[in-house]
Amino acid sequence: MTAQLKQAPPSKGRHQRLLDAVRSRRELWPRRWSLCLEITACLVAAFLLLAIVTAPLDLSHQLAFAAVCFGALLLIRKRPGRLPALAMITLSLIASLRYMYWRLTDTLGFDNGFDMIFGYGLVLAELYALTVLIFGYLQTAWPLQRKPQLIKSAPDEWPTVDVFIPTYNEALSIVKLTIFAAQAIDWPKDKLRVHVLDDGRRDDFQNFCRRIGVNYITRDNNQHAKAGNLNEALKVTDGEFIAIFDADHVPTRSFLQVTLGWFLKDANLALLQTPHFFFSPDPFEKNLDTFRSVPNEGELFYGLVQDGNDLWNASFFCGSCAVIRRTHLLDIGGIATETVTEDAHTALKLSRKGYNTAYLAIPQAAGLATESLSRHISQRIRWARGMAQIFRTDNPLLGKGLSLGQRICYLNAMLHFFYGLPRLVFLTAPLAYLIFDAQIFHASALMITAYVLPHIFHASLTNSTVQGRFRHSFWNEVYESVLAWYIMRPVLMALVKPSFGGFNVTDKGGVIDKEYFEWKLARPYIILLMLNLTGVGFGLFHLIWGDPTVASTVGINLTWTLYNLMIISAALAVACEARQIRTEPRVGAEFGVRIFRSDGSTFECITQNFSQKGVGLKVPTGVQLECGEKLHIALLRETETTLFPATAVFIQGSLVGTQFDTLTLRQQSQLVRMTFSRADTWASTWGSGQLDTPLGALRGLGSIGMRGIFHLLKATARDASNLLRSRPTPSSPVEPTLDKQ
Amino acid sequence: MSRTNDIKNLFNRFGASTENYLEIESHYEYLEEMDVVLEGAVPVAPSAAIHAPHRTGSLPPVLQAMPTTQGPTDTTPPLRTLLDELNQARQVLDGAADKVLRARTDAKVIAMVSAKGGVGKSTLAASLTKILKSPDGRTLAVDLDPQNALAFQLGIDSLAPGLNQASREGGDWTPYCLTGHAYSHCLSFGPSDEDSRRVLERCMQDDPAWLRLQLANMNLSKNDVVIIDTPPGNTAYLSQVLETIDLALVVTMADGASYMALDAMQTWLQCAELPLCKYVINQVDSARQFSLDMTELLRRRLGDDLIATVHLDHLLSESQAYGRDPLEHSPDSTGCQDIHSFSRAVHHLLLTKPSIESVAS
Repeated sequence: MTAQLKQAPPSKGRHQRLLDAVRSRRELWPRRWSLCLEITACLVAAFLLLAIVTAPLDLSHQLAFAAVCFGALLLIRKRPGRLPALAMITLSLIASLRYMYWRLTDTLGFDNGFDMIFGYGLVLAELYALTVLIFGYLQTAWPLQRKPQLIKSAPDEWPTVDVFIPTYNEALSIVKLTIFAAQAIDWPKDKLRVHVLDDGRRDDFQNFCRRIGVNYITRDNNQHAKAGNLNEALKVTDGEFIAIFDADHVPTRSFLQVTLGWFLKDANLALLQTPHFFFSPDPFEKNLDTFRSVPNEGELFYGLVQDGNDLWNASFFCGSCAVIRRTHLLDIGGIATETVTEDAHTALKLSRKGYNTAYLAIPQAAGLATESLSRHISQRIRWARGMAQIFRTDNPLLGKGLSLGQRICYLNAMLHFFYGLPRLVFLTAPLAYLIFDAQIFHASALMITAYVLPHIFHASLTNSTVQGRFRHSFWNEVYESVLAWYIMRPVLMALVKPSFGGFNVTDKGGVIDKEYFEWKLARPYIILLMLNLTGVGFGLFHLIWGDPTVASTVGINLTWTLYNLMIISAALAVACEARQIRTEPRVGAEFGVRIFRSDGSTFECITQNFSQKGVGLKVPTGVQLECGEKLHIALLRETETTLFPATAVFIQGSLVGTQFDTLTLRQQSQLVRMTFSRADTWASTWGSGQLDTPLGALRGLGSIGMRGIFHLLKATARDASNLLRSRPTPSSPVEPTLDKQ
Repeated sequence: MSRTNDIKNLFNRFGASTENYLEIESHYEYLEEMDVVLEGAVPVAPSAAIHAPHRTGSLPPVLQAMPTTQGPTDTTPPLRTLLDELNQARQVLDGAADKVLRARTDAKVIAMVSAKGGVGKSTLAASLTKILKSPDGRTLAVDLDPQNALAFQLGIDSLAPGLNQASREGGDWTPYCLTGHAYSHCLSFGPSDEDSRRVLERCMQDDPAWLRLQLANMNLSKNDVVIIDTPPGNTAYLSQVLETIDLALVVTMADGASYMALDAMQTWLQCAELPLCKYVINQVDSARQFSLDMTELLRRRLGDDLIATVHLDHLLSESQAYGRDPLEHSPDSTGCQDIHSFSRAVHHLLLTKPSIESVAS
């Protein structure tokens, strides 16, 4: 986590120092002693945990116990370091396991079959959630925080590297950026071979590659999509290492020097993955307007989960922005082609063979996020399907070659994608009681409160503390809720029959010229919204006119329903596709430029942002540019400058937007070198978002939910006539495999 | 925030020093769309518009059509007189020393000429020497300009003796060729004073084939290329050069004075019966509208004979001042890139067209 490293020196609490001291002293002990100590400690801890979890307490004692635990939580919550975090995790485990023990032993006496179905459904969903919670704690309790290993040897001893840029249908204008940046990587020219693997077999790509002198590789079929494409290229290349970048992932110039050191140090290392970083907002960030203010869906994975996996030697391959050692990859037969998530499966196979994998949490490449919700969903469907396929065909719990930690990390990665059904259960569970009066939870309202609240509060606060930088409270529910309906079916299908084909989802890439509402995608959530609103109506009715003895039970269910309503309405807000005017997203960055005007005068200023097509400038006061004025922009650097012809296209006060005129290949390459391939641009925004505060997140989500309902009403009024005929525009199907990684 | 700081910023984040980082700016050859067009557009035969030999000295139709200049009417008459003299001199030679004239070097000979000083002839000549390579051949720069600037540009001690010294001793030029930047070969003019220059110029006036014979004596192969730098204006040096070369490269700038001077230059060249004469515009300042306008005017006037434009690039002159080879030091700068395309155009003209040889002989 670079974010923590940034606070140099890292502020260590007293507890952290204590922990460090114990650890360092233990390392001096003989191996047998420390093993003995470990086993004894584990046994004692397990016994204690068992005793605490199963201890029968009546209501008042349980309340007192919960209060003490919660008090302890509040006391240690704000302390820095890993020991307090571990303590919080322990407390949370105690609360959750106590709840689950009580739940399984005390609350399942159902009266009839109807109650039983709903009741067991809910328990199973809860068991799933608990499993993921526990595995999640295991995964993230101790992020390895690997640092780069710098290369000490002379450049003529550095290994040869093949850079693979697989592409299928991405536009040349986008892929160009990646190719130029790959050429600009600081690595000896004779040891850096850039290959464009074009499954689209396009002439303009071939011509472009010829003109700038990179290899262009095609094959005569498209079998196994990207995995097949990479494997084919493996056959015709021979570099010692392979760096893979998706067509829209632009590497920085420091990529290889930062990543390759570990391979030289550890001969058994087969794979090193770096984060996928996006310089454009994903549909959530775009439609909810949370770009860079709320961590996105992927940030938790790359910020924390992968770093935690690394401790267990279980870092995953994510298909792009990674380096692989050729010999080890060939040893497992190349990139895995059995499933649609070839990347994770390849890593699993490497781990099974006993090779090491590593993760380096420094963004050394950046790409474009999926443009629209439908594309985003179709991508996640593919991941979910692939993970379910691996779960079925190459289950990490079974088979040889994996350590327990690796098994758990891989298993959790797969389990994570099974959230579809449980999430829908949680979103509808209270309705069973409110609408159908089903007694799915056999306990008094007070007992429920005494057990459920500690479980929920501990889990939320602990996660907020552990993940705060990479996932804000409650957002997990929103991300899952949006996708739940869509990934549920493919996952279930893949579990039943792994080879079953994909599901097509509508595609609408590129520029979104006008705001519109994704009726078709939002339909499940509109139905959920209606159901929950009905539930609230019933609940209020029960509360006012119903039996006063069950008022508290109704109250609990009503609160749950209201929470669900907030999550669902936030999910609806995502379905309202915001306008996206620019095709090239601009990246905020400040560096010095000199501007030459056509009348011969010059001035210097600072950029605000840049894109492939232009830069945004903040001009000094007194300089008056005209729209359409021809300029020459020199991007300054230490030894030399390069001139780019440009036109001022947008002027607002001191802010000037410029667009480059037609640039030569040389100039385009220079531009990429000076902008996108800068080493520090992405790392400086990594993990530096706002820290999570649960109440703040709740407030934010509440207002987003309101907006969602407002958009829904507005869209209803606007598209009333189209409502029954699904979306206003005809949809075109897209192969799930076509999406971006 | 300068660019090199990006590595420092990154490394500070994980508390490492940049010592172990190696900045490698690999340089790649790009095939620009422009070049492709240019190569296709260069005519195989010299275009007739401007430098078709007009023995009578009348202005070519293109020039007459240009409404912009008044200069030629003032400058042309005395020039014509000069040129007529030159022509007469040649006719005398044609008759008298026919055999001597036949002796000429096998190498391709290029001259950088201009009517006006300070247009960057030496810089372009030096750059061309470094880049232009024919297979199995050497490229030799010969500085025929008493300023003796070429040696410095190629990284050779400018006090080293050159053709001035060699000629005075009446000997062969070959031992005086030195090796400069990028393994270029250079015969500098050598240090000179008023007297020695006068002797040399007298020598040239007496023997119009002096340069041609000197070069022929060097026993260069047909794969070799000789690039001659000349002093500006119509001098004895220019006359010598025009007798000898396969290709004249007229260097001009995109400004008023150069535009005017071009008239004079074209007139001198018309008389010389050159097989090939091409133009290059140097120091185009794309940040200035005027410079761009002048470039456009020149482009219209010269048509296909304009083979390259080199943009103003302060890095070139700065590198020179520091005695560095700009082509090596800052190969990506606009100026260097332009020079590369210039060189490609010359290469194309001279080394890939068999038709030139027949014309030249």
